[in-house]
Amino acid sequence: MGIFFTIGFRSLIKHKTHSLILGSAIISVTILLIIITNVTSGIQDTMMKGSTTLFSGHVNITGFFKTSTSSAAPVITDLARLRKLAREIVPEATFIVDRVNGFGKIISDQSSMQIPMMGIDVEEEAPILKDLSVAAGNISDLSKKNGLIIFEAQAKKLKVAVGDRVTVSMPTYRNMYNTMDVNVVAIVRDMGYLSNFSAFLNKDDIRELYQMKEDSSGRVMIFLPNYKTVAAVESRVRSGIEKAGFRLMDKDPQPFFMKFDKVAAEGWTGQKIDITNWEDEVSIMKWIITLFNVLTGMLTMILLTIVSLGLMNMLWITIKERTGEIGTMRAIGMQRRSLVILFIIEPFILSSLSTIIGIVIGLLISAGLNAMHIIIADSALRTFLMSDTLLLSTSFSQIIITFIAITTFTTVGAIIPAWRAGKLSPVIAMSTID
Amino acid sequence: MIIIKMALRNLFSHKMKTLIVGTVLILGSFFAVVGVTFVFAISEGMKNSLTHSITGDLQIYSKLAKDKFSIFGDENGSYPDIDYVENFATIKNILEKEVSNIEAIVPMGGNFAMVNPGNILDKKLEELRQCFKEKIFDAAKILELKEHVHAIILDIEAQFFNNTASIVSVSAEDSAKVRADLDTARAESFWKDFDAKFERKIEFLSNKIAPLIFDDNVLYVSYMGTIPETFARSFSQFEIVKGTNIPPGHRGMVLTDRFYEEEVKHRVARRLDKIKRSLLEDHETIKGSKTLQDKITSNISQSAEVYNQLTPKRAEEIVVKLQAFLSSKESDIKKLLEDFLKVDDANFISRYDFFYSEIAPYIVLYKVKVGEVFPITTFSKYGTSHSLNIKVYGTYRFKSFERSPIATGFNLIDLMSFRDLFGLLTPERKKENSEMEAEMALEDVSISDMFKKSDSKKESEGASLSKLKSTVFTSGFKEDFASQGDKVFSNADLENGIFLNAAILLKNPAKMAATMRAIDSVSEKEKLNIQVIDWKNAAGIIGQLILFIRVLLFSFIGIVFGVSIFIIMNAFIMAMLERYKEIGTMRAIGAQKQFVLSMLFFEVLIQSVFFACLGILLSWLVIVIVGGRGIPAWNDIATFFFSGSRLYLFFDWWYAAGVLLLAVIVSAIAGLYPAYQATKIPPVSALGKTH
Repeated sequence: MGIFFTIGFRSLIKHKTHSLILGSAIISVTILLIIITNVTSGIQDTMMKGSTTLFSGHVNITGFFKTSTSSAAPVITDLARLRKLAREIVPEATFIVDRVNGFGKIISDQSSMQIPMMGIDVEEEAPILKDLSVAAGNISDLSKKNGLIIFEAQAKKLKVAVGDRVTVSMPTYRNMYNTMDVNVVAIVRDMGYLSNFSAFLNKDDIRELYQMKEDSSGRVMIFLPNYKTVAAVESRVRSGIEKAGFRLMDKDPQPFFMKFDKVAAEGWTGQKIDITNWEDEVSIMKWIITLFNVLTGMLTMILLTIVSLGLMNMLWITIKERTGEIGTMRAIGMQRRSLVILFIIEPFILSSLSTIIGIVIGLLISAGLNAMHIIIADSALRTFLMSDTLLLSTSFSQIIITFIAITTFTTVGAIIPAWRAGKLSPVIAMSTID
Repeated sequence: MIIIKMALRNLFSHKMKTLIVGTVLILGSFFAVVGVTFVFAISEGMKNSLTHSITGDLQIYSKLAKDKFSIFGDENGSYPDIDYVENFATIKNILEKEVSNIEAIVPMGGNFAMVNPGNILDKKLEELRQCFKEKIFDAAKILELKEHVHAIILDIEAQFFNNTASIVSVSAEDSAKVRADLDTARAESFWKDFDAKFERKIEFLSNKIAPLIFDDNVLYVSYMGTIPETFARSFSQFEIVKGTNIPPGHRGMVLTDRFYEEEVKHRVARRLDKIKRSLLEDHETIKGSKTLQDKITSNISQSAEVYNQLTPKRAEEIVVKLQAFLSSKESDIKKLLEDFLKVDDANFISRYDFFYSEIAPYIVLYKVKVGEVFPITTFSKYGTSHSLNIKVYGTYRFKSFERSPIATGFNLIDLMSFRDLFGLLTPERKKENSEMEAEMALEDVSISDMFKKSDSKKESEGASLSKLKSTVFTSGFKEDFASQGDKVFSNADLENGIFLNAAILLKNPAKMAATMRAIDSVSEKEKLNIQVIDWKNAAGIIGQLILFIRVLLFSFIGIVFGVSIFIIMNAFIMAMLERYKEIGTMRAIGAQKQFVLSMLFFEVLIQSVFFACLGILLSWLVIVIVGGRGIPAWNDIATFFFSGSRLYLFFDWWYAAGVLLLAVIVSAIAGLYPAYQATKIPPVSALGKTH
């Protein structure tokens, strides 16, 4: 086998020009793919980081309480028991907290906005909230009553600073609006698109606004040490909660605010629990990732096909040129199969080397772009990338897949010419030798 | 001529190289044409949806606007703060006189409102009230409604004490009040003299009992204030679907038909309509479509919305009819309905017809019906709320965009009502506010004081009482409409007032940039204080999305052709090496370098033209076959981008010509280096071995 590699290498070096041209093509395609997949991974990571800081755990115990057949409140009751169950079912969880869902208007003296808000307990959530980058004020001040934490974009729109007073107004039932004056205790840096729709209130304040009982909340959020285990944990939580006697809703991978309409029309009353994961809660944005993946996939297929064709062409002509050489090898005893392998190894070496070089360069460029913390000015792009700065992240498995895909695809193009080479009869081949 | 013949012969004799280069060109051209067609169909579709319905070609608004204008709201989803412009008539007259390219100017102003159309008890009480007001006393109907109301009251009692109290902290005092009210409503004495004192009885039930149903039937209405006549006339695709447009001089609303059918209509009915449309118009089958199967499942789980709205008497009648229709002995209406709603391809049409003939007339088919009056409440940016009772005159749509989510987002309201709901702090408003403050017992605090920047730290530390205020804005459901003022106003009233932004439709959209400059200079000269932006900027993030998609597409095409250059170049180089001796021979017998170049040039030209044309032909086939039938949108996002439920593609010869040219250029570039190498082949190589 070693001799085949030697022959392959030698041949590549001999035909420097073609090797360089084809190699460059493969390198370019690889770099492009690596950068695009890193951008897509970056979006995915931003989504996860954003959602698990702003409004979701890795796995959530949430649900709806229907006070009548036509209502739907995103409330869970029997909170203490649910939290205890969460601890028991997921002992490996790093944190378990609960938050109250809210939705309403924040009114300053200059402007107003209507956004979802969450009631949190800052002390309990300190490990989660450390991911928020504070621009002004002090997050822990939310532990006192009548406080509000907002993001930079919202502070800009409302034209408020830390210490300013605003009014929070939440619609409860039947045209009733409860209002409360609160002070802005902290302004935190934006976390891309998702943070445009978030703000934090003190949990007790929001309970008061909704006149909710102590035992009710919005969701129990479970954080795991390794988010890749989400599916398995979710399954455990589902069966555990059901066994404990709670009614479960059917799995519906959508954010909770998309479920109001459906739940409000269903005929049951009382409490039903909904187990969701972080991906469900951002599922309306997942189309961006799907779009990127589809486009990348299509582009890759086309490019790799083109490159494959190039390789096929090169091999074809190489074989024609080396007909005499082939004849000689066959005459001295080389079998057809070995010949085929030889002529597959050559493009294999070219494509694998080029792919590795491409991967390395692609990773270096990605790291460089990350280090530059490029700020995205265009708001449409910001929405797509879900972040204010360009973030690329690398996944080891993605690199392996890229390597295998490109190398395989491009080598596959070599099969037919190599097979033809194997079919050359030694006599005819040798007759071409001058 | 000989050169061309030689070029052709060369192409044929080096089949492999020709085929490979050819395949690359076919792929590249195919991808380019299909890609461009697809993306342009999307972006043109979205553009047309916008310019022919909402944005017009240009938008003008106040120069003093704090935010950038975006008709769909800003990044936070709220309507941008663009201040307002004083007098529409002035602006219109000046612009129409001084800027020649303007076809029409349509005033606008957008906002969101929450509408509570009333729960089932509200609806039944309203029906009851109407019955009593009719000249002819329909005793049977009144009895039927009273029975239903009674049943609902019993339900309320059960739900309130069993369910509501589990999550809402109700004080003992409130709880006692609720019980007392419910006892009153159930008492025989209450019902004995009901007919005689119906007004007061209905008012009691409406104010005390109906609010106990915690109902999540709020409608989020996004609306646009405009001059209805002008709007209808200026947007050529506008057409009324149900009812009529708002009559000139009257207050009212016209909903988009899509909003009416998708959000206002009864959920179960709405889904049945969608299934029917998919089956008949889109030729899908229930068996083959998961989307339709999901709809059926939702209908079954939400059948409560049907039986809860039927009066007891009606429910009994429908049980009998369903038993006959389904050949079933089941007597529980819930189970019968669930069975009924489990439709399939075979029974769908007959069940659909049955639903609309036997069930739909007796449920609340539309939360707000055309011809009805309903209360609408908005919050101004100052936090004050404003309510109006508004009559829905009809529904409208834009002819070619009836399924586009972009074009169907704005329900229209007359500009007078819009101004009232907008919440400008006029002297009248200030008076109203102080009356409200008195009611809310905010003695010394004026609304502006509430928002003053305070030494808040000091205050919040000292505050032990939470500053919680409950304000109920019930806006008196179905108040006397006349008092709200179905006053007739003149066109001058409409035009001589504020507006937030206006759409400008141009006679010649191609001259957009020049027209924008003209408007700017007129504004400067006449001190109009307005600014103008094009439709793309006005569409905010959607406009940018369109641009982004195009940029993405052209980048991809660029990349594909870029990589192709490498591959084709490589193929040419290999070919040169193969033909070393051949070219050497030609040179040896007298062919000049020019001749060799020309021959190669024609080879490249013929090859690229031929294969690119093949690729274009293939793309034409695909576009005509697939694109002609339409690519179905598989979810809401796709529907949004497709501006409808199907995206139709149209082959454009200009695109094709452009791609052909590109293919030729790419081949030419790829051939440059090899051709240069070829001219350097010395004649003496004809005598030597193959290199």
